[in-house]
Amino acid sequence: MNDNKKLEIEQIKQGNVLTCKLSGWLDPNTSPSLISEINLNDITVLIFDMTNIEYVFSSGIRALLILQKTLEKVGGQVKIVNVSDNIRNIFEYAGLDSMIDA
Amino acid sequence: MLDFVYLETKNFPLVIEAKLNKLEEVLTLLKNDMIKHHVSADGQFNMITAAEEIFANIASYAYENEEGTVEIKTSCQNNIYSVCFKDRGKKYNPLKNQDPDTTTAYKDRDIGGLGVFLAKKVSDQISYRYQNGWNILTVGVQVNK
Repeated sequence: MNDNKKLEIEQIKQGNVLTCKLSGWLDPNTSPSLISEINLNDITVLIFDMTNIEYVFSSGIRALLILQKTLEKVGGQVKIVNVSDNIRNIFEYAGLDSMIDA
Repeated sequence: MLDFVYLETKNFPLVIEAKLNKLEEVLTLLKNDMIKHHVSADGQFNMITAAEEIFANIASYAYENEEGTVEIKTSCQNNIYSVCFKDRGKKYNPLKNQDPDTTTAYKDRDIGGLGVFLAKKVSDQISYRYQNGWNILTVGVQVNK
């Protein structure tokens, strides 16, 4: 239990669309890697597939918001797909539910 | 996914270092404790979310650059599962924070202040008091919700 849960990011690039399949934790220990490991060059749509994410904490939401702000400058956007009902509630509380691509 | 590794040697009440690298251990212990108390899946999700935000807040800010600990106790009565966090860091009532504006355009959105706000939103009860040098924050969720 001394090792922190890692966040794994599987990246699939198709033209200007980058899909990131996430698994693990989006917590204060792992969320910074969302920023550091994703190359936004030429990307206008960044999709996060949350199928294997059980929890999203505020640190993860902050990272998503930073990425959204970065992409907005080039007319791009972040989309979130495959969220559980509980995670959808978290995005709604945070006012980020419009990121969810139903 | 949380691994439900049973930590035979540790249970609540628990005294643990106020460090972010203890987060997983705390949340796994809480998850196991909630399973023992038959807290619903939604209740577990809400408590894990609230507890993460509260513990991360203490680990990040309570002791500034000093070492410190958090005492964590759990209880379950009257259909409420509660977790009490005690620290001897600087006096701080997180419930007094102004809620972040979650309605403005993303480009104008402030990045901070979400953690405690989310803890308040997902919990059914939350309270703070300062007593004899202790910050005492207790959060509760309904067992059967």
